[in-house]
Amino acid sequence: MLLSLMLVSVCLVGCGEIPEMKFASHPRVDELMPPAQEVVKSTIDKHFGEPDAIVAWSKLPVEFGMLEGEVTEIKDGAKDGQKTLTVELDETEVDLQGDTLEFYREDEETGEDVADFLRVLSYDAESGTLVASGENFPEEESEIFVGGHGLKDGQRLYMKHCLHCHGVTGDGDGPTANYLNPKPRDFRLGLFKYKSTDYAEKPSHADLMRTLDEGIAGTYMPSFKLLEEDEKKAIVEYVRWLSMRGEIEKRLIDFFEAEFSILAWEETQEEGEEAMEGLKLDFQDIVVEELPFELDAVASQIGRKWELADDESSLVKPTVARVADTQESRLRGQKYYVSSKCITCHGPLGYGDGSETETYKTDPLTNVTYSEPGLYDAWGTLVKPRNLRLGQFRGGRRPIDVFRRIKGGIPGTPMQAFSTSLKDEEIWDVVNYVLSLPHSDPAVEINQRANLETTDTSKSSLAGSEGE
Amino acid sequence: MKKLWSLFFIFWPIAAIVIFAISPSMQWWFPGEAKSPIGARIDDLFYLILVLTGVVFVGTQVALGYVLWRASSVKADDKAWYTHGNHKLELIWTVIPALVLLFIAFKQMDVWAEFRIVDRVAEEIRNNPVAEVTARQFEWRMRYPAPGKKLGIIPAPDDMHQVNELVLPVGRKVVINLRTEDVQHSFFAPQFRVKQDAVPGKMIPVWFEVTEPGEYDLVCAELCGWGHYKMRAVIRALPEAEYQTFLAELYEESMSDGFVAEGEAAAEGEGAAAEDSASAESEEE
Repeated sequence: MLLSLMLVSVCLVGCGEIPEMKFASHPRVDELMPPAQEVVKSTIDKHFGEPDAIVAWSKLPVEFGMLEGEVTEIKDGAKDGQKTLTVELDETEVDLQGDTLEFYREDEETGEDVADFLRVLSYDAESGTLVASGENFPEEESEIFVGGHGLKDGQRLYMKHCLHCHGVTGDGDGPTANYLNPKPRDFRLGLFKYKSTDYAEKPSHADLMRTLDEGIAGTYMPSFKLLEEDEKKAIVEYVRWLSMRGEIEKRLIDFFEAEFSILAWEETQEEGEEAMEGLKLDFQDIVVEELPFELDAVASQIGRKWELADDESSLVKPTVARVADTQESRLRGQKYYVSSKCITCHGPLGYGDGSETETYKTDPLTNVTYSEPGLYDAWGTLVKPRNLRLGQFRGGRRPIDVFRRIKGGIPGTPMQAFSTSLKDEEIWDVVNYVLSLPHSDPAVEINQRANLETTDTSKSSLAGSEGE
Repeated sequence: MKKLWSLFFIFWPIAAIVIFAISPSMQWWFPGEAKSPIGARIDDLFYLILVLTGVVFVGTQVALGYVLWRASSVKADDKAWYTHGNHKLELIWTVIPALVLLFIAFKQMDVWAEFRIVDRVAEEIRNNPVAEVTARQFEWRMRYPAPGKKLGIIPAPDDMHQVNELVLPVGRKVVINLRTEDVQHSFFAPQFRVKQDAVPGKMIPVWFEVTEPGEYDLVCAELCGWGHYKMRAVIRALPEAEYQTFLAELYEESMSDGFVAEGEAAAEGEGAAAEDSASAESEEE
């Protein structure tokens, strides 16, 4: 008896309440003055919700499973803040419980139309009625969008496979992140390194799928090839949404940062009561008059970029076929490697030990010099230029992958795009050179260069990298 | 109460037989028949040992139950009967198990040799491994030689790579080279009954033959870290002709330059049309 009691208690150890999952605010929010912090947090919360109650905002190009329709009748619900709506949707056989209902209403203060959201508590497909809770409700015959269930699968799978590194918020700070180097990607800057689109563009669906399929060699990102195709698609959709959430949050912080930082707040506090009132009024004005437009503009802009990424025109593609991989081509590639300054980061022999790794850089955001010398990425982490002799290619090892890394650059890192400084033929020469590095002996290369210099001056234009 | 204990011990051999009898139909058994000749031989050994141990288990349990049953009716003042020191009995239960063990030891030797002694693999096959499988936390990375080439120990520029997918031909013995990039892993293909540890710093050849085309599991069987459970891959076994086509396609894919000649580009581009089909699919993905 005692034994079985002990066994049961052992089994229950660690089975407490599951902690509630919350999206974390970006730490930069704390640099805003307190009312601005509140506004950013509530705006993001209103348009994105929390993990257990996400908001489907029709402005974003995400597959929320969004249904369009119209409210035909509104009745009071059983409780305060609940109403029963009769709706006509373009599809009925869907479980909408937990979804959000989006509608537009006139703002009392500005008279402009603003998006508002209700939470769908239950939905009866037969009668077309749903019970929803919220503060404001749409008027009869107004247009509505109901959705959110489209992200459920993606969220569940993300929680299962991705969260422990990339975090609930997609901030790259999951429980295992502390033990990883390189760090898991923080999606919130909207920057993705390995993609097939132009430098300034977002990754396409296919790019994110490829990363899931192939993993990223040399990092902790494993391949998720054996997940079902629709499971991977669902994860990609959720990651896109998390990234949009983070980037919009960042842009809102940027919006307030100049005038309404915590520093401005503290300085005004010292100036006295009157100045404080002035600041608060200014802030109120901005929130009422400009914020809705800013939010709208930012969301549209970011949404458009994500949509554009899937467009054929965003694709980085060579205008010429790969230049034949000959010794001459490689030598030309080596020349461009030097003249295009690849050498300053990747080093004279491609070991990733260029002079830039020894120089002290300053943080572009704070203008403070980093304590460690070397190159830093947009996330503020020290990054090593790739050692090109390892034969490890994070963004893929096909010639086209290496071509895209050079022509399209690697966003968020010091690896810029060479689409303007090098012609496609020249990029292919560099590709041929780079792809040959893991398989060639650096000692032989050094000897070769020395020989070419001393014995064959007439060909130095072809091979003379040392002279430049 | 005394009878209860004898029933308790009689219950177990009966339960064991029942469970073994129903388990194949309940999917508690092996994942299907072995899909490799060596797997079939390993299964034969398994069944042989299962029968031997099964007979002994049932026999000893029945004997135990019988003794307990009889002893339950013995009166308290009856004198005990000792068997200890019975020379003949001791001889029997020492020599018979020893013979059985010896029999198993010799019987399995050839299977073991077939599975692990490298000389058993024809030199031709041994020198031409079809792939190098590198385990790492937490995925499998495969490297194949380009069609018509030999797989080198050091990667070659035209090697072909795949993640979490190992494609093999059916109907012939193949060798793969097993390595690990970080910690110890174990290459486990349950349908082939093949399991081999991957040890840091070592390249271990593993050989087997797949008898039927299909998709099979490849999992890690050595606890290698927190992501051990997700370290799985698929082995796709293809008939020889399809296998060769697969290799050719993979080669095209891994050499893809993403260049699609279209309209005027095709007219003036030299040799562009030839590249066209090769690179088209990379754009489609």
